[in-house]
Amino acid sequence: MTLRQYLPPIPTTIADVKTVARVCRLVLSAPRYALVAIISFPFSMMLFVVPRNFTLVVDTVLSGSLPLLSRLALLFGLFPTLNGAAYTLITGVLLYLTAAIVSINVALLAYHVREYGVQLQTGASGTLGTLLGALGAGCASCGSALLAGVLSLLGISGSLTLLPLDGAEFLLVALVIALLSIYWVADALRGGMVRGCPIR
Amino acid sequence: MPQCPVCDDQYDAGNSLRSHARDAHTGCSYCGETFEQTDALYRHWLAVHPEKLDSRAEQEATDAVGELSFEERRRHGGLGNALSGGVNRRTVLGGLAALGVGGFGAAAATGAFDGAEPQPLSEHPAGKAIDSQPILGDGLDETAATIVAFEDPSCTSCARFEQQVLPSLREKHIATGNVSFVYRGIPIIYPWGQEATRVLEAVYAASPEAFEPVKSAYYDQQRRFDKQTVWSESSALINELDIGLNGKDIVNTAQTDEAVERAVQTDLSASRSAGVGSTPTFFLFRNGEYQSKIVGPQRLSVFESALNL
Repeated sequence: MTLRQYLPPIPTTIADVKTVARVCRLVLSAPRYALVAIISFPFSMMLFVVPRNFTLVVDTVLSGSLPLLSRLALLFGLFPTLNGAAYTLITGVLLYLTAAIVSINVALLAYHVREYGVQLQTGASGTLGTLLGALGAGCASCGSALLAGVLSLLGISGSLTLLPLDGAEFLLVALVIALLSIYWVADALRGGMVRGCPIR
Repeated sequence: MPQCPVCDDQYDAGNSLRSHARDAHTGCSYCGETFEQTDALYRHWLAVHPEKLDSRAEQEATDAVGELSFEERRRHGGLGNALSGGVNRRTVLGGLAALGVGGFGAAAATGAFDGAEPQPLSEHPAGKAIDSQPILGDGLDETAATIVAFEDPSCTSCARFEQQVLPSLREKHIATGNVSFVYRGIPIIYPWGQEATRVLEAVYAASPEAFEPVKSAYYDQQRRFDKQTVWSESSALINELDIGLNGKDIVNTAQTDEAVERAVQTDLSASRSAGVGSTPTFFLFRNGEYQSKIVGPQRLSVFESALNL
């Protein structure tokens, strides 16, 4: 009995990566799960960008007297754009990439729940990936008090100087977790069939 | 690993087991009950285990025996299953999603979110000692909207706001008399920001008109500064800008003047009272009343929408 038995599996071979790609292709080729992924995408983005401006969203989008179109414009105005200042190019790209991976993950989880029920392991990892994505988005704003607080707790002075990407490092971690989460869902589908095709 | 309840064979996945139990035993893989005919098994699936069937199995059973009536579900699965018949995972998941989205929308529509407490600028923590702060625009009493910005000269996000958002804000709303923009420096990012913030306070005390060019120069040339060189480079920067100030004198004031220290502490105290956690953070006021706050160098349209400009 080794410690590894208690740890979630990680992909180690090209075959593992191919399995993930195959599962994603098969699940997303079903219109209903493709739709789940597409609908999840803006919500995933909101999970990343809204916490940073939660007060603003509550004050102006969810309450106040603005017309509906202004509220929507304000909400989607928080999303990264190529010429926007809120996020650097690398952070913006990482945010969209992570949101896309999380959305695919949601579609796979929906398929898994529909066909096999819920397993805590995959559910928890998906949640962790989402949480890390949110942390990365918030932290990528310069001067995250949370990050500075954590680093100072660890006795690291100079704080953000140690993070060359200004906190986008957390997004990279989130991206890896989200990718791992997709692998865990795909791994849980091994031995079964997806849309009539065997997953090995 | 799923096990056949009839013969104990093991299978990798539920759908393989279900096929085995059906073909080998005309039996139910969920409860082990066996039947004379496959159609009876299908009716059993639909009446007793509808929530466990995936879409393929549900389709297979429905194709063979059709949709079950309430009476058929009651006869094969009992009253409880008959009443809950048709409620499968898809329905539950769809219901939960609709409940979430609908609940959120309903909460927003019915005002469950109260929004910002109306609070005058003079009483808001961000407005503490605001008359002694650098202001762009026609003045607090002259404009419909006021933005109070907490920034750090060493902050790269603040630099992006200065370079990409503030020019449009100045052109469209500050120059036209719609908005006043108040700058409050809080050194919370890189270590050299502490000295730079003191220099900015000293510059403003010596010449309010010189404040903007020095602030912009800090943002434009952030890579030039670090903790070791910030005093000497700040002195050189002020001399290079040709704004009628002596760099050495300004740095000397920044290093020794207690009024400079008090000004920095006033801004830091205001930021803590207002709950500023990162820079840049902008507090928005309309007709002297607090509206909301924006965190990060968001695009101009976000400011315009939030302030109804």
